[in-house]
Amino acid sequence: MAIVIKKPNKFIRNHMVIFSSVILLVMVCFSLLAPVIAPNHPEDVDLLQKLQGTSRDFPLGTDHLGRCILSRLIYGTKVSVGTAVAVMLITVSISIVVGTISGYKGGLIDDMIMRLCDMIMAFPNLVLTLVIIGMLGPGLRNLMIAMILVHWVGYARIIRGMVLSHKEKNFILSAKVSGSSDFKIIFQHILPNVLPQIIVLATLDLGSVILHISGFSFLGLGIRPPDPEWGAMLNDGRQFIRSNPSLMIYPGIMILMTVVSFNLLGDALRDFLEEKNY
Amino acid sequence: MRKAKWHVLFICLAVSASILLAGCGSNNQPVAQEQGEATTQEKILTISWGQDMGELNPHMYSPNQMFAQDMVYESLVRYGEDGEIQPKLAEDWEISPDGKEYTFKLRKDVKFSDGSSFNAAIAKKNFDVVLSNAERHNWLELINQIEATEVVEEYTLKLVFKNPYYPALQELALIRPLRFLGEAGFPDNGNTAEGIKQAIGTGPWVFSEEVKGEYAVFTKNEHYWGAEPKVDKIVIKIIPDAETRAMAFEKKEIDLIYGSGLISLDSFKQFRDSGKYKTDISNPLATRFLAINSNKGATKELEVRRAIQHAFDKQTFIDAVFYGTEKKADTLFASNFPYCDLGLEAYDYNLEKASLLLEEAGWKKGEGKEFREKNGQLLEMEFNFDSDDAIQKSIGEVLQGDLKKAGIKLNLVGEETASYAQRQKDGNFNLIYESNWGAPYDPHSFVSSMRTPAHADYQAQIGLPMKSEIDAKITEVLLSTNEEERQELYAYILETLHEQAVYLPISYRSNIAVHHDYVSGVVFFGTQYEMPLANIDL
Repeated sequence: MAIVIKKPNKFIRNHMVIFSSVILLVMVCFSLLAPVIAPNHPEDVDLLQKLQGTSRDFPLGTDHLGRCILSRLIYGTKVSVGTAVAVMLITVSISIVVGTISGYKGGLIDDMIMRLCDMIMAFPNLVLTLVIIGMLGPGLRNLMIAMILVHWVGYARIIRGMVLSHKEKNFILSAKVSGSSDFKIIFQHILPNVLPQIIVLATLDLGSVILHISGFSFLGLGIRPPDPEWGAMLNDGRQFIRSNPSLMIYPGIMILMTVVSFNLLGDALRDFLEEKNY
Repeated sequence: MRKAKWHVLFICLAVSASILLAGCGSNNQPVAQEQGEATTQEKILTISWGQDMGELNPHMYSPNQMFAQDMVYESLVRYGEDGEIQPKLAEDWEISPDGKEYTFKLRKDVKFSDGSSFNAAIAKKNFDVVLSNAERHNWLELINQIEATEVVEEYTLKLVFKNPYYPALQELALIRPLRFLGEAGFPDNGNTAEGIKQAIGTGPWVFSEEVKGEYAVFTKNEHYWGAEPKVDKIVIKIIPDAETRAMAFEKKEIDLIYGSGLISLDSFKQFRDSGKYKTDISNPLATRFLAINSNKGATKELEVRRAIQHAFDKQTFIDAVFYGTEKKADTLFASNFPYCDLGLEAYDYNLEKASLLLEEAGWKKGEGKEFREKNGQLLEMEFNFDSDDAIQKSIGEVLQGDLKKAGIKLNLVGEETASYAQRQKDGNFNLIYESNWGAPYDPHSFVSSMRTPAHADYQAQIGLPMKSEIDAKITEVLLSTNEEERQELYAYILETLHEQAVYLPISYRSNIAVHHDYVSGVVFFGTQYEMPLANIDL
C-alpha cells in the first residue's frame, strides 16, 4: 500500500504564496504606518467604554479597560512581528559569522565553539530562555537577548555543516590552488551557496519565534503593560473568555495568520530554490 | 485486501483513542472520590485552591495556607463576627488588675487528632517554641511582649507580659503563629521552625492525604470536642488558574468557591447573573491600597502625593473593574474597625485641585508637552506590581491614564511575585500595591508592623519628617492601658498618615462565595481567612 504524495498543484501553490505575501505586506504596512492607520490611540483607557462590541469608533470593539482592540492589534504588529524579525536577523548574523569561522578554520577554534554549542544545546530551549530571562529580569529587550542567546546555536551548527561540506568540493580546492585568499573564498564561493538555504530556514522559523515572543508575553515575561502585544493581549483577554471571547479571538487570529504566512512563504522559497538547483 | 487493512487500522486507532481517553479521565479524579463511591453515602465536599497546602506547620508562614491551618489547628480564643472575643480552647480567662498576667482556664475535653489530650503543658510547649524563635515573629508585638509562660495546674495556663498589652486577646485569636501542635508532631530537636513531623491539631479536620499539585484531602477529626462537621471529607483540588477553576465549578467538579481572587470578577458576575447558582458577597474585610513612597523621587513631595490622591478616579475604576462588588475606600482602615472612626476628610476626585497643587509646587506644563517639569526634571514615577495579578495590572493601567491627565508620567513595572515582594522590603518603589490584613489584625497589628523595616509601610513612611514620632506613638498606643489615651494616639497616627498622603486607599475587599444549590450552610465570618467548612452540608 504505497502512499503516493502528489506534488501540490502549482496553481494552488502560487495562490498561497500570493496570499501569504499579501498578508505579510499588510503586516509591514501596519507596523510602519501604525499611527496613521489606527483609529484610536492604543493606550487610551476609557472605563466607561469597556467591553463594547463593534462600532464606528471601535471597529473591533474595546477591551476590559475600554481600549480600542483594532488599534492595539495594529500597534502590536510592530512589537510582535518586528521583534521576531529583529531576533531572527541578529541570530542569523551571529551564527553565520560563528558557523563559517568554525567550519572553515576547523581545529581548536572549531572544537571550542562546538563544545560551547553542545553545552547550550544540552538544555531544552524553553527552559534555558526562561533561566536567562529570570536572571536579566522581564522586559522586551531582555526577552530578545535571551532568545538570541539560545537560538544562535542551532543555526551555527547547520551553517558549520554546510561550510564543511562545501569546503571539500572541487571548485573551492581549485580556488585555493589558484591562490585566492580565505576571505575571498568565503565571500565569493562559500557564502553564496550557504545563504539561500539559511534564508529559507530562517523564514520557516520566524513563525515559531513569533509564537515564542507571544508565549513569553502571555506569561508576563515579555512586553510591559500597557504596550500592546498580541500574546499579552491574549493573556489580558483570558479573564473574559466567557463573556467576551473576541478579546482572545482577534489576537489569536493575527498570530495564526502571521505564522501560517511565514511558513507558506518559507515552503515556497524552498521549493523554488530546489527547482533551481536541479 | 486494501479495505481490510483500513479496517484494522481504524480499529487500532479507535482502541488506542479510547484507552487514552479513559486514562486522561481517571487521572483527574482524586482517589478519594472513587473511594467515596465504593463506601456510599459518604459526604464529600470538593473545593479548590491555587496552591498546595504546605506541611501545615502551625508556627510558620507561607507556603502554609492560612485557611488550611485554620482547619487543623485551634486558638485559645476566637474572634467573633462582631469583633467580640469568644472562648475556644480556653473556657474562661482572668486578667490581673495591672494587665500583665493572663490566666487561661483550658477546656478539659479537648483531644488532639492522634488521641492525646490537650492540656496546659502542651500549650506551654507550643508557646515556648514560638517565643524561642521570636525574631521570625517580631512583626507581631504580642510575641515581643510575652515574658514567661507558666503551667499553674493541669488545665490552667498563665501568660506573663512585660507590659500591659491591650490587643493580646485579639492576637491570640490569630491563625498563626500561636496555635497548638500535638506532642507527636514536634520534630526530634523540638524546633518547629525547621519543620514538623506530622500535622496534629485539635481542630475539626485532619490533613489525611495529599498529592502535590493535584489535590489534598481532609477528613473529620474523630476526637473533635466541638460540633461535628456535617460532611465527612473535604477534597481540595489544586487549580492554579482562575478560569480553569470557574469551568471546573460549572462542570460540578467543584461544589463551592469561597474566598477572594479565586475567580475573576467577570466570571463571578456571570455566575450571579445566570441565576443557576447561589452567590454572595461578604462585608468589607480589608483594604486594597497603594503605598506612596515619601523617600524616593518625585513622591518625596507632599504636594505630588496629594495630587495623586485627587487625580485618581476611584469610583469609575471600581464600577468598571470590580463590577461594584467592592466599596470605595477613602481611608486606610474602614471606619467600622476599632479606633478608626475618625471622620477624616476624603481626598475627592478633582483634577483641578490636583493641577493646582502641582502648579503651586512648581511643576509646570510646558507648551505642547504632555507631562509637567520642574528645573528640567520630568514629573515621572514608577508603579510596581505583581504581574500575575490581573487586578493590580488593571489598577496600573487605569492610574496611568488618570495621572496623565494631571500631567504626571507613570511607568508600570510588573514583575514576578518574588521581585515584587523584594521591592516592598527594600523600598525600591514610588507606588506599590498592598492590602492590609483585616480583622483581627487591624488596626493594631498592621500599625505595629509599620515600625519593621522589612515592610513596605515603613519604607513608604521613612521620608516623612515625623516618622520617628509616629513610631514612638505606635509603641505607646500598643502598651497604653487607658481607652481614651489609646483613641487619641490612634487618631494622631492615622490622621498624620492620611494628611501626609502616603497611602492611596482604593477599595474594601470582600470574600465571595459561589456554590451549587445542593450546598447549604455557607456563611461569612468576620475574618478573611476562615472558611465555614464545618457548617456546610450537602
